[in-house]
Amino acid sequence: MFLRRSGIGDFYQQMNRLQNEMNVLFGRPGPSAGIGASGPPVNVWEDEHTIFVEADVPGVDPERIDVSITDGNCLVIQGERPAPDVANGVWHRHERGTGNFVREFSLPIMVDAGRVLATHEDGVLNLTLPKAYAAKPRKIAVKSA
Amino acid sequence: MNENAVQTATRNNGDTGEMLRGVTLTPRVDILENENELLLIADMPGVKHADVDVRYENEELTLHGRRACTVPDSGFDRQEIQNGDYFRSFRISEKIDAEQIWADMKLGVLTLHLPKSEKAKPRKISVKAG
Repeated sequence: MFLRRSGIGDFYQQMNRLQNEMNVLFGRPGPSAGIGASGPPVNVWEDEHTIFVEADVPGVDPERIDVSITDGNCLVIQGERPAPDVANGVWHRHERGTGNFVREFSLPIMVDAGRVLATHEDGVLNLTLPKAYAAKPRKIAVKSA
Repeated sequence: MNENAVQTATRNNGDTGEMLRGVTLTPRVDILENENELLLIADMPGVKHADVDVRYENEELTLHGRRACTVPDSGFDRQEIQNGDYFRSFRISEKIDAEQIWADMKLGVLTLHLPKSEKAKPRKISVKAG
């Protein structure tokens, strides 16, 4: 027996750890997906009048983030993340992506591009996008004849 | 080891509300070394300065950060960011001067400076002509 009973738990723990490390290395979209080739991860939700977008952009200077809306509902978030500046450094781990990134996706509804509000806090970009007037649901009264 | 025990205990003690709070997020890190220090850079977007906890004990470095995302009642149209706490630990074999460790949190990025202890630094030995 080369695997003692008491060692099996440890073994699986090690395997799980290894799997997690592999996922990070190969950039699989895990719970902590970062800025990678596919751009920053986002959450999108809405209420009656507004669409809200939250995007993870840690380490990105707000001045280097560019947000635009084309065709009324196509949102583009782009920017640049600097590489760490260390003199004569030797890398032991390198998981954080750097350089230019672009994220582009369709919003569920047309928005008023002229009234979009963008704020930035703790490495998270928050967008408030008012729905375009024509896109808001309207209640149509039905008259009896 | 102790940290892990504390971590597990908290999770089990919590009521269902605590259990449903979210997942454990693994922050992405860069680790660099130069002759004076180890530098650890971790992405922890959405974590406030006051909600970061860094510990170094028995050659083990643990990072912990609390993140609270907005969770709308109506649900998400698209969800790629999870609500949860960041946690990651590292075993550091390099001799570190624990007293001199300092950290800085900016734009959702934690930067940790771990200065090498004097013994671990490379030393230049001057050779005198005999």
